Amino acid sequence: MLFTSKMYQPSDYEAEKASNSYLMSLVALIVGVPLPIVNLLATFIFYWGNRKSSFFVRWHCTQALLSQFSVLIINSIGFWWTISILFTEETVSNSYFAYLMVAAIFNLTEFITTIYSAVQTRKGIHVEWLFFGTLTHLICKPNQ
Amino acid sequence: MKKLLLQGLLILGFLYAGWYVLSRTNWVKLFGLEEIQASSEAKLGEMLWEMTAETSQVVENEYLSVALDSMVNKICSANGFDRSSVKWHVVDKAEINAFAMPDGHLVIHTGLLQAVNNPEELAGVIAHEIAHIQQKHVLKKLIKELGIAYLTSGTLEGLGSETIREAARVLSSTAFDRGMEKEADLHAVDYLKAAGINPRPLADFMEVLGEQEGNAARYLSWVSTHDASKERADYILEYIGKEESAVYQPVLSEMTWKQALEQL
Repeated sequence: MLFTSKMYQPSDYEAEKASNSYLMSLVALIVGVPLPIVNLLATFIFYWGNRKSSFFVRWHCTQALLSQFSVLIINSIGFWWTISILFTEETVSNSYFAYLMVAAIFNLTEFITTIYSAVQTRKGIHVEWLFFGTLTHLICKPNQ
Repeated sequence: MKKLLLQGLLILGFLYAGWYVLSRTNWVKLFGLEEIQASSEAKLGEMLWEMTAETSQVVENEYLSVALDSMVNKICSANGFDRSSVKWHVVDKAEINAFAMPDGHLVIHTGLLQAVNNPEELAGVIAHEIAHIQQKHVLKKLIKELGIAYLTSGTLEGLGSETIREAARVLSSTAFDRGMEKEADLHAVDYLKAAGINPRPLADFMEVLGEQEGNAARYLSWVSTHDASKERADYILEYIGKEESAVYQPVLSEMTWKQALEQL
């Protein structure tokens, strides 16, 4: 679920930077699958590079980074479950297939949401994700 | 903060609900994995038995067939197992051993037949191996020791004789983990009870073998692959309980058992 607002009008430069934070995680997500750590690292590097930018840019870099943690957790569980099936006595089960499907739906939702957020922020529209937006508000504060 | 927690729980709830609903579908059957697994298991079992038969002398003895069939039939029919799921074979080897292979092949050494004091002890060992078959321990052990390739290859045509030899070695001379052994022991007791066969001789046999462990270890393969026999005898007896009132009929007549052993 997404919430959009246009309370603050960022400059074109800010909108581009904020949009890039989502694009960065998107590209890394494609490269990184099935190794979920890659997208997190790429987003973190981008976040680190922009930690002193304006509030709008920082806010969206933080939201992009936080959202990657959820992908990391979901995909890591799937990754290690698969490894345990390949190398231990664990066998494929209905629960395993159900998990893979849920993970795929989650990744797809994240993928679409990320594209949407990149497009909207490029237009200067503020996009807040359910949970991650709220969490970002707690972490990312405006410059005094 | 409350809003954050609620939103977090909402996402987790959606994920869990999605996973729960999807896991109700039998994907394993839908994707045909059960058939692939069953056909791979059947081929692997056949290949392993062929290799075992080539390297050992198979014992074909009419009286022994009657005796073993009688025991296996009793255990299977009393516990609702498909009789064709257990294919027993006797090979002429002095080692006291019996082991299960994929697709229900159960190999019994003549050394074991000569070591048991009565047919109930043999029935106990057979019930223990049937438990390994029923609980799918054999495949789990192979996957653990040798990898998933056995199940995913589908046809198994790519497997070399070296790999098959290694699989045979793993099954005949390495141990299941203790959890699986205990599970098989306790299931064996249940199977025996259901079949009206006295389960105590299984514990007796374990105890006797446990005492001999130090003396002639090289002949006691079933002990070396089923370690801590004394401890196992204890928990088997504990599981059986007191049941002083239980009356069991002999699993075989004395005559049948005698005739079966005479021709070994």
